[in-house]
Amino acid sequence: MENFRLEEGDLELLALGRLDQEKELYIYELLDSDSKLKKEFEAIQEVLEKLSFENGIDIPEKFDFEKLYMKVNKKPNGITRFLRMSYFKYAAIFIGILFLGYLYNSGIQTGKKDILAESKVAVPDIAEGNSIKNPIGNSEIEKLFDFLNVELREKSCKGNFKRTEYFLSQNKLDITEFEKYLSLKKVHCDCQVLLNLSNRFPRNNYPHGTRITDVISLLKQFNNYTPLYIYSCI
Amino acid sequence: MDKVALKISETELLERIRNADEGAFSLLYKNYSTALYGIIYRILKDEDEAMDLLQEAFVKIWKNIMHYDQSRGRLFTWMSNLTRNLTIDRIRSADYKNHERQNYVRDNSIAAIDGFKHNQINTDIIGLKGSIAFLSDEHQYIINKVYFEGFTQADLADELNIPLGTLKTRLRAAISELRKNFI
Repeated sequence: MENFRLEEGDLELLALGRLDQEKELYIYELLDSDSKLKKEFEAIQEVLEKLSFENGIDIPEKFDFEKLYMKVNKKPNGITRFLRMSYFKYAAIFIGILFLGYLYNSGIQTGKKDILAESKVAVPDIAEGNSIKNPIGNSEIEKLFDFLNVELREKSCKGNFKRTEYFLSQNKLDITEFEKYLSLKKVHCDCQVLLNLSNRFPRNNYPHGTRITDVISLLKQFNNYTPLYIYSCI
Repeated sequence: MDKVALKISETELLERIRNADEGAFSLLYKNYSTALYGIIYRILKDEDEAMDLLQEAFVKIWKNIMHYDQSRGRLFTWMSNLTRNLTIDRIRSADYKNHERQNYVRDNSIAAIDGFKHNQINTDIIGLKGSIAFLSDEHQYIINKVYFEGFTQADLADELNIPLGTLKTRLRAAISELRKNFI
């Protein structure tokens, strides 16, 4: 600032916005401390303003004031509003996302535990002496397991009891009663007869339809993760 | 429209703006649009371009009006300088230079060569009115170039082939003469 001095014409150039920023600041400081100079600057601005008004040009009729009005009153869209937020708000959102992630993850873990617990319930009553008795007897159910073990290795489970019903009808066993039993044991298809009633069959031997099989094998391939819930909820 | 008297005082207008008055923008526009359009049109010399830039200028003014500092000068001084700078930026932009309809390019060298011709055209088409008419030709010329056509003092000193100090003295003299005519 010490390098500057007020020169003739500087106030006029300031009013015209034609001074560099440093000199502008220097003159503003001078104006703050010199009322006479300030009055002079005011007079220059006033005359230039009057000059502009005298030489104003009527706006053409085709000028779209509505468009202008819409532009200045336009409410910012979601992204703009987000970008305008302070860093504090960003931090709050980030923490919120982490918290939600934690809750979500906890939910999944809890769900997994439930499923595991459920699958334990489905472990055969032969071993645990479960109070829900199977209506066809233990020897017949072992035969059913053997039958399904062979059948489902050759063809995917179709999400129904077609093969179980075939076995029951071939052996003249009560289909209706057995299906009620399966329902109580949360067994909903042929492959679940093996998976949920017996613990002696490896889970990945009985693909439950092509798509599910693909998902399971894909998951196993990438992270060696076996989604238990897929077996128990289909 | 009365081009001299404001429809609302600057202080009242600013108060309305700060209070987020719904009609404040319309008042701002009614008060200053013709004066600002006059500045823009005299630089661009194209009605469509000038209207487009007027839109842009008002949007920028409105977006920045809360940053306007009354202690640094009058509202119109701030608005007109913002508008003039925006217009000069447009003239200098590559898009504008390539504009098919514009033969005139605000390039300093071209402006210097074509200065006299351009000035004649300007006076014929959009001659200045009011108090400026009482000034000497030289003072009219300087005010027109610096205030209405957006020339920098250095460009104009070059064009007139006079030292920068001399130009500043003449500019000051021209504005002083104007002030006498207004009183």
